Amino acid sequence: MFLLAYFISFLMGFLILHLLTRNSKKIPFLLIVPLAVGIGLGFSAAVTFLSFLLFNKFNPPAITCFMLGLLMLLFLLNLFFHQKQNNTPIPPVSWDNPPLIDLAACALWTVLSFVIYFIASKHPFGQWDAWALWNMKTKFLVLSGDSWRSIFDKLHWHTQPDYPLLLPFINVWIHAFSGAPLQQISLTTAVLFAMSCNILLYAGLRQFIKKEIALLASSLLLLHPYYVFCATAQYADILLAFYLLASLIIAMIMLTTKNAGSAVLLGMLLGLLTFIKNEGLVMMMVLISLLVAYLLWNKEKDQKSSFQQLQGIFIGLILTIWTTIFFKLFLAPPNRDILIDYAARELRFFNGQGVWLIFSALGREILHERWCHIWIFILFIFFAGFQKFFYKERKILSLFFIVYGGVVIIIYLTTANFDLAWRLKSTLGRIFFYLLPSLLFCCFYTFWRLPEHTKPESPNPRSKKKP
Amino acid sequence: MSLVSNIKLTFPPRQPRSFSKFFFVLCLLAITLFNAVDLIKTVKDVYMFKKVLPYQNIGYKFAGLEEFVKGEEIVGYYTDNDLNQQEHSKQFSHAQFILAPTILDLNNLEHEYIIFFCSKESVAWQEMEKIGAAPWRRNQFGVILARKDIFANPGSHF
Repeated sequence: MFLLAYFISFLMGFLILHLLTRNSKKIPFLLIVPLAVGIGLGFSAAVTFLSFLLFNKFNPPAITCFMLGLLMLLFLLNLFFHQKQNNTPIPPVSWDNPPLIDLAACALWTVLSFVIYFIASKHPFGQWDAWALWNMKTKFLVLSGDSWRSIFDKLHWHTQPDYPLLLPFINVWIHAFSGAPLQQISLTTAVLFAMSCNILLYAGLRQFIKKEIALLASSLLLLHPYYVFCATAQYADILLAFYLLASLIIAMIMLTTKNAGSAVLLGMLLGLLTFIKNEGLVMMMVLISLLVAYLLWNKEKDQKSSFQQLQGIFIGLILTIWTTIFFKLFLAPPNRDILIDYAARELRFFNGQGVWLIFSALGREILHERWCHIWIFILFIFFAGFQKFFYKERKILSLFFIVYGGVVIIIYLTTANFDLAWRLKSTLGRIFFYLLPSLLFCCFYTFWRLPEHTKPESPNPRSKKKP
Repeated sequence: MSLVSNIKLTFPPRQPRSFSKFFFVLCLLAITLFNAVDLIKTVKDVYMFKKVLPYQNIGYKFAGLEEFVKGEEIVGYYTDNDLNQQEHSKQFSHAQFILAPTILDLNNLEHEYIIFFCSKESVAWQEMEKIGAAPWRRNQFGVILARKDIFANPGSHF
């Protein structure tokens, strides 16, 4: 029964994607699957949040009715728009070329999904922060009746009352529909996002580089023991990893195809990113600023299409970011680690010692054996193809990581409530984790990108030997 | 000027040479293989772990108290342990998880119900005496749920 709830969310995501891409070239099926999971579960969480605001308590029949109503509306909209354009409401799946690599990838994912589920089942309640924060809040939302807002003002600050609630609301929706045990739902959600993130990396890269290399990148991630550990720990970080990767892939598709539907989709993903954790808010602001700058100041771009893309991004953003705006303005307390009164507090680490601590921790993390040399490999690729990382639309990816890294360093330097060494030790690994899939995408996309006139599906002309 | 324009002309990056491509694919394959071996080891470790400890036990030290605080929005939580130490803050988080949606108010003894989780049971007894509370429930791990107005309604909750 609880799998049916996930399927309803997937269907909702699929219909949203189909509606958005009706005027353009189809998004490949393999890319649609993980995107539909992300968009569908994100919208399900937003609907569940809305039901809490309207009824002021956990109301399973209302949540189910809202979800089914929205699903019906999306189906009718698809039917209406596609009939108007003489399209079929369900897109045909194309298997023109024998997709041997795709089949190999599917076989690998099927086997590994069981392996990952088995590993995840070692900790059905998740790791510390998972049960202490996210799963506790899910339980609180389900059981607290009309005092659910106490999450924000009465729970101890250890529970991070200012953190947005996308992950708990996803799990609450599944519970509302199925009544399944919460620990089973949290575990399944974690495994689903771990797998979806990987499929997304493969399907995203496959648009731009050779399938074989994309499959290698995907295997590199999914076979990585520490990635699997963090992804199945039931933290919200796997959601950050997923939505950031999805945003970057769709941003690249939007910039290369100049498609307005992709722009709306990108806006939606960025809006959902902000409802996961405060880091998502920073990521959204950095990425939007870079996109605006690129689209407005790039002389090679057609101004009209640039404005259309920006318009699309902001329409999509409004559709999902209302959750975060309402949450931050009316519910959540201010963040005690970032929005502190700097004038009144002593910033103990805003000095050379703080910088030294941060960079030595960065070095240790890069060389840490749990990462199995993956960061050294990424650094090698970066230096080997340095010039390419700042070429055309690719510079958005590189600049995003540089600016975001800078923001993170500033946040560390302004640490006031903790010991910086302890904070670095307990959070740096997680930052590396949620950036890893996106950084892999950035490296592979930049380093192995085929020339723009070459479609990845068609045989690579450079590989043909001359007679 | 001509030098500048020449630089611009050569700016579009070259595709990676086949050697460097081959080298990186080889590295990629090697790392993927090492990862696969590590993952198999992890699976074996998890299998052994699950044989010894089939269930993850969160908050077992507070087991049994949840039914007695049901319906209470906030209860006090008293401890003489230093919560800056990870193990002790973990116990507080365990308690909050298992007793949710009841909120634990750390070291606030003003509430009607208070959970005492102390280093020694004698410390809990001393504190209860100070604030005029009496033990209402005690579980096998020495965690005490005390109530402040128990003498106002003697016997009503036993």
